[in-house]
Amino acid sequence: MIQSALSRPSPGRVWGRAAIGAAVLAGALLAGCSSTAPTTSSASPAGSAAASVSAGQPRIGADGCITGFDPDTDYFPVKSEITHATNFSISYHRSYQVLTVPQPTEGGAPESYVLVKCGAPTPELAGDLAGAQVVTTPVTSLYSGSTTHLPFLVELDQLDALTGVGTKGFISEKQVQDRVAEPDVVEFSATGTVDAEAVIAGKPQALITAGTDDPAYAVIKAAGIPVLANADWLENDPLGRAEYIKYFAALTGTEAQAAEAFASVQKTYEEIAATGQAADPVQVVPGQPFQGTWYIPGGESYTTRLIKDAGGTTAWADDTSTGSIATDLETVLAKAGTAPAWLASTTWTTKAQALAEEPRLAEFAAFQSGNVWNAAKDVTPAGGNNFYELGVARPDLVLGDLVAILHPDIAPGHESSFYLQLS
Amino acid sequence: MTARDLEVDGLTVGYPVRRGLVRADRVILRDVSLRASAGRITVLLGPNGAGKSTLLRSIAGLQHPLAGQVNLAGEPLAGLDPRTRATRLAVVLTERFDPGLLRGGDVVALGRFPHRQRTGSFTAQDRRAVDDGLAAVHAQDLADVMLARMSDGQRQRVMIARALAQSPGLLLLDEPSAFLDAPARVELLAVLRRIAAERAIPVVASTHDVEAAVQWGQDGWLIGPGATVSSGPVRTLASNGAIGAAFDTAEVAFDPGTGRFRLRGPAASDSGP
Amino acid sequence: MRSRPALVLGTLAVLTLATAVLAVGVGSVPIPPSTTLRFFTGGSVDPTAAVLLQQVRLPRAATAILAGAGLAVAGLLMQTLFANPLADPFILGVSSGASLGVAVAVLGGGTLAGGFVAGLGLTGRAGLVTAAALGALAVLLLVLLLGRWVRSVVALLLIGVMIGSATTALVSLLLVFSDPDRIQKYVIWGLGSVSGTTWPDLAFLAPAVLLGIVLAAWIAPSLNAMLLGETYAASMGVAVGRVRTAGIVATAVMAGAVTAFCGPIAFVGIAVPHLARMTVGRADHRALVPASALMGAVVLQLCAVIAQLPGADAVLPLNVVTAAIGAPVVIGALLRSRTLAAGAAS
Repeated sequence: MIQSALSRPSPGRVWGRAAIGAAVLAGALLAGCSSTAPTTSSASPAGSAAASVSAGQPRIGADGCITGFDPDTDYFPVKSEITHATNFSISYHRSYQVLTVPQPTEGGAPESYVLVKCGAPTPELAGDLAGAQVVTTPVTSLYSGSTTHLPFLVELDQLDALTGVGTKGFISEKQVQDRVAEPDVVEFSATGTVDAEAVIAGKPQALITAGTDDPAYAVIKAAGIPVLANADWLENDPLGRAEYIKYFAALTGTEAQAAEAFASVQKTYEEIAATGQAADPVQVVPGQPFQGTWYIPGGESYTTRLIKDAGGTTAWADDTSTGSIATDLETVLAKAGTAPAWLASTTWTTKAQALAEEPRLAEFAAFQSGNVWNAAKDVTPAGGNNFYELGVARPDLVLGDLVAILHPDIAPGHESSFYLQLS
Repeated sequence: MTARDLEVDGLTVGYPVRRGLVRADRVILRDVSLRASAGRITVLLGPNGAGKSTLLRSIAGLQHPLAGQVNLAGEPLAGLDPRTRATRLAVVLTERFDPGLLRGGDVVALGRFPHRQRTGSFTAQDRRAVDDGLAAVHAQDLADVMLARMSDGQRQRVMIARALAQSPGLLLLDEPSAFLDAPARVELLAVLRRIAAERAIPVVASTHDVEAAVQWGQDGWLIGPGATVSSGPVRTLASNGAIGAAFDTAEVAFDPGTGRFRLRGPAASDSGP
Repeated sequence: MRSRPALVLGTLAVLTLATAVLAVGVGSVPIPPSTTLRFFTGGSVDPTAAVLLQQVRLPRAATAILAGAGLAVAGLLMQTLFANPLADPFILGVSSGASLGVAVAVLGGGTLAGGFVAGLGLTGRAGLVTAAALGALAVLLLVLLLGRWVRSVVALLLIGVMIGSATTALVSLLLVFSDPDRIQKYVIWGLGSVSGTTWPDLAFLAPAVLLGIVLAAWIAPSLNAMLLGETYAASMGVAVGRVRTAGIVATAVMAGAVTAFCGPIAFVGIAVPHLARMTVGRADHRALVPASALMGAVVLQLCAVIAQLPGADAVLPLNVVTAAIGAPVVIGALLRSRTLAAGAAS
């Protein structure tokens, strides 16, 4: 009987089929395993990046976009953890991230942006996210409104995504200058105010602001171009400002590199801070007067934090404000007239320039001993200052300069990156 | 006495003053009762500061009387809304304004404001009232002249024409001859007499020029010493010494016979031709 | 001669349209006129150009029309009501009130009032506009309230000027305690601009300006009577107090709305009424209101176009253009005008 012969294979055939089946299954498992093996995360101290393994197999095309979307798959194998910055946060939702900025401008209401991985459908936005701006990641064309963004793009190797800057003349880093010299890079704020038409015509995937407001932004948003706020200047922790590399990692899908870079900066910073604080704190005259008013950085401000971490202090160290204190020459002379070191933040390069602006500066002990330093060593002809570019991304370099200024014995022969001594 | 006369009944005029919670009004004229006959001109006389303007403005409704009533053609003026009152009486004041681009015809046409419809279009009746007003003061050729280019006398005539264009039942003028020279003053009084007669309305005009008023006026209201008010034909007020009582000073006396002021004392012999 | 106002109005209407078309064609990104034409006639246009025209150029042109018309009519009202040829829409302190509102929002970040505005979640553009409107409204209410206690219009004028000075002083106080970044932001607002408005903004600006113009047209016959002075006007039955209130409200709404959205724009309100009077040739407000509105639209539109500096890379602040271009024009026109000659003869 033929049927009976087919339904009851011989024992040899069963084993053969079982062997083939087992081989196929083993091969499938091995292939599946290798494609989901965890990426080797960088050897990092605690608190940097947490790597997670996805359950299913995310299918990503050659351009980085999702090909077969699965709502249960977590498409963010590497997630950024924000430890020092307080003015932005990222939450992950399998196929999209939510980037939240509590203060997009000073005193502004919080804004959230939905960053959807390309190839995934736009999620339903309800509640707090209703009306939120949506950006597709990874971003390949963005306009930057601040030089503080640029070193991050260099570090993440995403300079090609930079297609527009505010003012080309303010850029200090050579790599970025070469990039913006290319014809496809637009300058959208040459005169100081944002040119809405130039931005709209250039059609970037997003414009990243400097954390300030401009009337043109409303027009740009109305034209359908997302305007994302980056108010890093409101961070008072120097490491917090450096952590904004993760903001750009979220936009470009380079979380792993960001984690590695930031961890390295943090380590170096903390090491330098340790040496600075081991010595006795040195009194510092902070800032300089302008038209009779002297804006002193508050006790919890970015500038004062740097000074303290470098082993210095100011007469206003106990103040708790994070902004500036407006005071006058008389008060500063009384409180800081005998301080041995002076850290200015203006355009002076010579003592004569300082005296021309305010002759009574000669009364300060630091001025008489010549120990006046200004963060104006690396400037561009148009007035751009690398202190506000690389200095923000690399607070370790700034701190190194400051420790060398305040405690010359700790780091003799240090080559200053940003500070020069007034001649 | 006609049905279209102006009747002032027990009128007290002045300024309300509030001191704290108490009213202590400043009274200029108290309990005045007067009549201005339709068809005739009544001159309002009195020394400076006597209250002529206050009385006129109170009658015109430009300020509130403190007590009493004003009736025109039997109708009380007090209860009227401003627009209706503007159809009953018109004023010519001493107030000056920036002439700007106004022409004579524009100003006279403004007199039709209280009669105009909401849409503001100019009817044939409006046109006629304007023409009649200009004709009454012989100012037809001033209709297209810019006010800024007119002499004081011409401007005065235009303002009277404007008041006439309002088709009022009463014409009140406050010092209309103040800026005019002597012949112009006489001519003005003659014009006002004619207007009163032709339109059969009362015309009340205050004036400083007592001598012209006595010569050319018809009826008179006189504010005398102690804020008393007497009325009657102006010649009678002159002859019975009322004008003298109101105006005579240590240096100057009114002569009822000639109807003129003369200097008292030895210098008197130098006066006259 | 009756037809001259009609002729003038007709010409101005055509000019308003023409300058608007010109303005839509000018901007920092060159768009060929053929593209613009196709956009308006419903043809298919490159999406980028369409977005630029729809979201940038058209709102800007519409704002210039509304702001110019509103400020010019407001200036006309103030000049007639106060019988003062130097009056402008801001004479009652409306602009100072708006400036104070903006100063509190921008500079007063740390102060109680600034915190209040920020607490409303209202910083950024919406906050700026709201703060300016609230400031203008507060000054308006104060002036109206004081106006009830004051008889003479000169006294009211002085009150307005004093309120203006007081608010300016408060703004200076805020400036002193602010840091340079915020001061710069406030200064930039003060330079004036018609480029920052979007269509939702126009949904507020248009009704405000149109309401003011309609109100001005409504009281135009009474304004004619008020040319003879308030006493004569009252004697002709004009409800002087109500006309004054209506005029002040119309001015405050228009000037306040324009200042809220565009910053304080100088010169248009004081000069355009004079230009309108000179071209219309008559003192009739029924012609002067529309003439001022249209002429204001044309003048501000031209100033905005010039401010764009077509061909050059930079952009001028609007107030620089309105003052620099307009002041010589008015002075020149006044020197040649017959009114001045007539005035000299009297």
